[in-house]
Amino acid sequence: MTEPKDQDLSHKLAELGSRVREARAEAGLSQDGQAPKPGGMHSLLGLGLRVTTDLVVSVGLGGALGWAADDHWGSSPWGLMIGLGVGFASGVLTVYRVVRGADTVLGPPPGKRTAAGKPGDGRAREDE
Amino acid sequence: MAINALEQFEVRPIVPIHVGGIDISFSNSALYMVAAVVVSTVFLSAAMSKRALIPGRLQSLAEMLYEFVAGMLKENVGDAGRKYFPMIFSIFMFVLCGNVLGQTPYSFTYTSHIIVNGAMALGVIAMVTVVGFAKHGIGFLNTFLPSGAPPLTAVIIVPIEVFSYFARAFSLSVRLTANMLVGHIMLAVVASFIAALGVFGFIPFAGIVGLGVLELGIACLQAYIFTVLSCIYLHDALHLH
Repeated sequence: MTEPKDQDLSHKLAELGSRVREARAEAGLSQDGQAPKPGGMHSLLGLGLRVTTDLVVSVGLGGALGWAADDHWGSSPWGLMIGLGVGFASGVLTVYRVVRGADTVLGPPPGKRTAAGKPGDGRAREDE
Repeated sequence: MAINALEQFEVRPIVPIHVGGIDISFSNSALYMVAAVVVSTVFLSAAMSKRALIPGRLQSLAEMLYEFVAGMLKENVGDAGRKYFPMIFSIFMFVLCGNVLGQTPYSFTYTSHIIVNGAMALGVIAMVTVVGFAKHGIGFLNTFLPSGAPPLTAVIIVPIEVFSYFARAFSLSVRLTANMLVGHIMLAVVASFIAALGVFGFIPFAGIVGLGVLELGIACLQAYIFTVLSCIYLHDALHLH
């Protein structure tokens, strides 16, 4: 009994939806481009700055931890060396992950062609 | 007249409180944090008090902020992230209000202090870790060893992964701090040229107008970045790779 009514209702809703879309498009209020998505040059700059911070902070933090370990155990210079190495490796890993999601030059990760960043949209993602 | 560009970052106690030798004075930093909470709460409740079907200006703004964060959460975390919306929205509003309130002259910017941002970033990482363990149990530790890696390489990979996991808290806070700090120092330095140059002070004055706009943009952008990275970390905890 209720089924035809529901269908009728959903049909009406769909019709209303399409009319709203039409009216929006006519009035130039199309919402397609309004998503808060940084695009183009701006987001590339943002991506670059973000990646730079990640790299610098990783190396700096690793070095600082290594230095502190040396200070504490008197193991100079091994702590600093290992700390810098781990920091650098982790920084590069982070940068790699960020960029892999954002740039098609590096290629999407195998089997995740849809998950990691659409081509050219320049979004920084850490899809792993 | 020499202007100390770093003076604006000084934390001064307003109401000195000392409990058992620990200084928990109510400072200008705390005052601005309270102000940010009050401003965002009053603004949002006032804007939504009418609950009009056709929103007015204020309500539009409030709805825009809501939809912005909700969309960010949906895009970066997915539907599973919906229940973390209050937390993410609070972080966004707190950072945004801190950054924007800090743009008003003679004010204090608490987001320019690494201790504030560090506490927030550590809070985010701690929350994300708890969420990860709650969702995946002990299997969450797999984050630190990518599947398919030979067991022997764990000796190298695990320390690097653990390190990079916690380094995120630092890069999150350092990024916000550095941006706010540099912007405010730059504004103060350029502003000090206005008086020093006398008649030609209009040149740095014009510069400071442009810089002010730029800084306002950066204030909003950094609030966005802080929040979007929190979302990405949450995504990583919910969906193991």
